[in-house]
Amino acid sequence: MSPPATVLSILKGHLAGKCVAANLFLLPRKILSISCFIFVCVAQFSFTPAHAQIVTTLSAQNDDRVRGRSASRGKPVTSASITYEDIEGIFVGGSISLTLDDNDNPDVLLYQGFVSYASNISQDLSADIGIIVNSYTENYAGLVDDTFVEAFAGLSTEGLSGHVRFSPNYLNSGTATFYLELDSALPLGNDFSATGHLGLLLGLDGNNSLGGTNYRYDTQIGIQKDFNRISVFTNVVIGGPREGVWFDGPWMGRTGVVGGISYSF
Amino acid sequence: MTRTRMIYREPRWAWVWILAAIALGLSCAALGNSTTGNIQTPADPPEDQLDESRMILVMMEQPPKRLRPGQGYSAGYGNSQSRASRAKLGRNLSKKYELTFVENWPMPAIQLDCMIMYVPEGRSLKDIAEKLSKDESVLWAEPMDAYDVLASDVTHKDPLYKLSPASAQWDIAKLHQKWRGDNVKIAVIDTHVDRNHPELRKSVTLSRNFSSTPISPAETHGTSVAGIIGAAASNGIGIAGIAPDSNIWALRACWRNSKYKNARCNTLSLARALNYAVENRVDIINMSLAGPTNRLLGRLIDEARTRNIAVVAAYGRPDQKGGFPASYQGVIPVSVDDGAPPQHNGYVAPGKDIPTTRTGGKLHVVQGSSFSTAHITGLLALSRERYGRRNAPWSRLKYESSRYRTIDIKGSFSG
Repeated sequence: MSPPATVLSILKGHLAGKCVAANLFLLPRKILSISCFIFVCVAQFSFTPAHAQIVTTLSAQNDDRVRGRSASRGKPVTSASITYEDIEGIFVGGSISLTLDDNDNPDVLLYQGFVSYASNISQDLSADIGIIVNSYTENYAGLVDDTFVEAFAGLSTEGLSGHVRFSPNYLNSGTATFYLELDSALPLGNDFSATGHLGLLLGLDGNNSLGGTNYRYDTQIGIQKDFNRISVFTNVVIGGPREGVWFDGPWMGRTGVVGGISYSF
Repeated sequence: MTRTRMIYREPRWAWVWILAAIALGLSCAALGNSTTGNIQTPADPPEDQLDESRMILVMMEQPPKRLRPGQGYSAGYGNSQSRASRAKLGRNLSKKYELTFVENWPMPAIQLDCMIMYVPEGRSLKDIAEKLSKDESVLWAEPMDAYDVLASDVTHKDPLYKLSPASAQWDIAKLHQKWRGDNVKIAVIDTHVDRNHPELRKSVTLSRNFSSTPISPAETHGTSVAGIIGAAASNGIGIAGIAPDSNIWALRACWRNSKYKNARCNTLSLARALNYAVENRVDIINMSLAGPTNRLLGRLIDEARTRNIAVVAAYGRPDQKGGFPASYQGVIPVSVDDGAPPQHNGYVAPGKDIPTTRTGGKLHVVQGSSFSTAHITGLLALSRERYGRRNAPWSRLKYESSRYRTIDIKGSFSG
């Protein structure tokens, strides 16, 4: 099956309530790991046109907050991602995130794949669209071992961007969602920047499927320092509302402080 | 919410395999980088000793800004990731042309990446620039140019004259009763300004170094230019600047070097300073310097004009057609008022025997079109305050004599 056809079948599967993508991600993780290794090697060694680049990013952080909620149950997360980006606007990549399981053994938290296309629509403004496939393992805080797809579109200008994400079956909960987000980065000089984020997750089925409500919000404010290829960051993340079970569990809570480091090469 | 448990689970093995994959991947990456990284031939000196006159600037388009999934909250728009991507691009290109990749400076104000590469001795800079300019991934390439500040040596170290020429000719004190440059941001792209000078402590609100040379003790030229623009008024000491309440951003792009008669700058340092000024939307950019025409600097000046930023530059040597940037379209050229009609359509201003600030908290007397330029920058700051940025797109300064390009102060600020 050609790659576009595979993507199409995954999308169709999701839209039909059949998680075809999940089957894809149920492949033994050894195979996925080996594939990842081969991809990294091939990518690093292979010839790429001068206007396209493949970048590997390694990161580690004390927690992984997604939509304001700790996806890793408050445990540290390390990630490796590899991306292909070209000047024409294509951006393709995948990542794997590890955390600690119930017995505090390292295990996979998330496999993620994405493809997007961006284009400058004016001198100061660019637009992008894309698809993200997320496959959480049972180590996800919601104990949901699921794969789901999000399509996104948005606009970016220097220091500010806004995106809308649509998932036909968010976290395989049977609920379609929209996620509206605004992100900003304000240069403070000497490669310091202040970062901010506002997000609103809306459930479209009206059945309080998002942990007892139909909406969730999250905010983040933080600071980042770049040392050439290394970025160090710390954020305060606040999620809400209090209602429901979204923030249940000793590790989660509505407020978290996340710090980490990433290295790209 | 549906809760499922995956049947297939082997965390320990998964961990071993993943660790092995990452370790091997990193090894490959390191090996890959060693083959695609800097080409440091035995003849090349260490990077910090590379001769700037052998450097070439390679301009490439920046990829569009975008969401970068998997980068979490902080790095959602991926500083280090995109920076690594662009640096890699530069390394691959330098390898292709057998050059040494030095560094990459993004110029977000004009959506360009400026890659700096070192051309080994024995190869023609012009030829390499032409070849690179034809590469499909390159917009253009150009050798690094040098620029000189336009000041003569200090004429003498006599005590300060009681009145500066501007005070007498323009009646600055009267203007200051209404306008003092309040809330006007002026970027002085020059040498290192002495921001601890008692006359400049209030007005110099930001100081940045954009040169590749280490930040030095304060330098004379920039300090003198800043003093003419923004020295404190009515503080009982020294002089009064033309716009004493303006915010001066001292952007160091030039440096004093015993090898040169005056301070010197280069394309890269000027481009970085200009990019910073344009990105941060200052009101006026003062460039008391001149050199050869340059495409990158021209692009940045174009962007400044688009953003309604006035660029004021010293009119340079006649043999260079006034020099760049003064001769560039949209730039306001300024020369010394010497009683003769100037060769440009800008302004003339006092440029002889001008008392101003110097390093170490002292004052001295200077001359040159660098300082005429500072006078016009100060007047433009008052004009911006008087009319507002929107209503003073370039200059509302009127001519007293269109032939001699002198300024009608009363007419410029009345109405």
